[in-house]
Amino acid sequence: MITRRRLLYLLPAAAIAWEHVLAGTPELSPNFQKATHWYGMLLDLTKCIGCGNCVRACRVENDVPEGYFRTWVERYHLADWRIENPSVDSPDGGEHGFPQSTEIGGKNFFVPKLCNHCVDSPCTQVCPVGATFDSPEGVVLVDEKYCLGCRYCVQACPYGCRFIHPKKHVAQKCTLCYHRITKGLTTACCENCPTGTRQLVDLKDPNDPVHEYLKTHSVQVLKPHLATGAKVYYNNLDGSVR
Amino acid sequence: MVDFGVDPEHQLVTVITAPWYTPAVSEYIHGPCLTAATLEGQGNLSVIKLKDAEHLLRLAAVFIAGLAVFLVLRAVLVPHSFGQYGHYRGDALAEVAAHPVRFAGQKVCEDCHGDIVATKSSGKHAGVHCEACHGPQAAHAENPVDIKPQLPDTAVLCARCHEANVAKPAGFPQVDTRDHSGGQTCKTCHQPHSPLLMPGEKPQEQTPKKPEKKA
Repeated sequence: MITRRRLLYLLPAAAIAWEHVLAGTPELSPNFQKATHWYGMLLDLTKCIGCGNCVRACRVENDVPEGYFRTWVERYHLADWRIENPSVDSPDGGEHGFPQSTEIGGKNFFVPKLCNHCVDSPCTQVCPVGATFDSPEGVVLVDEKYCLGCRYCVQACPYGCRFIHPKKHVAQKCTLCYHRITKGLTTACCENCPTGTRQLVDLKDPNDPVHEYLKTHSVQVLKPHLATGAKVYYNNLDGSVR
Repeated sequence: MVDFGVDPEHQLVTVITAPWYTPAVSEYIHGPCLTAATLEGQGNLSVIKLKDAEHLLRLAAVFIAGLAVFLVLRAVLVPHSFGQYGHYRGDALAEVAAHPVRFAGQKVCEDCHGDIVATKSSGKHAGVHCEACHGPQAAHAENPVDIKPQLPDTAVLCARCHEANVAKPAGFPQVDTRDHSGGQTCKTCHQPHSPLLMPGEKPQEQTPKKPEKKA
């Protein structure tokens, strides 16, 4: 008889056996180990002047449609101690610079934002068709031929870094200038940053100065409590930044 | 005998003959009362042979046909590069990488414009890449003879970075353009590639303070 007691023993045993079966069938990824790059970005907020060069460069380089942004700059204003209620503005994503602040006093600073190229990216986890993925170089990309435009990923991204292209009707996002970094160039935003706020980093390159930088600076990622494994590192990130 | 697998009227029992179905397993699943040996001993066991196997073969044929259709559809519909690197189409990497480059990069500029680089290297703008002000010049780098870059308008260009704003880092040189130059363009006094005042100019404050302090 399969009594209830026996079933209680059998089910976990079956579950363990099934896990064992699954473990024996790894996903095909022969070239993954060969990847010698693991890209991220370093943003030194002590240097950002909010000129919007990165936003303009990104638009030109990546044909980003008007009104949509793969990267943008936010201006934070904090009056005194209310760090939970910063006032944030980003007129046209900072593309045309920022008007003079009306509220003088308190703390004011710029925060450039872009896709964090998370290691455990929520956007790739929710894609129902495998159209968005982590490249072997650690870049989160969208396969525009496969994308259905279902917007799950747009909702899933906790950083608001995705949008649906108004003409192509597919999800788009920062590619970390994949077409440039694979040719040995830096990204368009890093190339055009006049103050050196933005720096493309290769975490697998032992000679990259980022390793020394991360050791000697107070570096933070956005929304660390979400454990997304963000690879965009902010130096001097204020606690009010969301 | 009114339990598992037994038709009470005809006293038939289906006996499973798979190799894993040992008496021990049978006993474990059905309990001790219903093993084949027990039934045989009681004289009411008759094993059904596969004499009406046709319906099973039909079922198997349907299953195999379905499997074949599935495999064919899968081969047709799933792109060949799917799974090459992970759960996505491997060819997509090359497609994303095929996007044209618009900004040539600092190294390309330096190949030809060594004189400007020399001017820049001693000045405050040493770290500013050429295309940060001159715009995307990959086309110019490809065809330097026919495609000439436009000279940027310094009145717009300089203000982008140097217009005073309280949110900018305190050490960054900023001016209020309205009362800094009296309507003259920046180029009148400052050479953009090395923006400290030109020789012969009246020395001014090199790092003008923020406007609210000036007023």
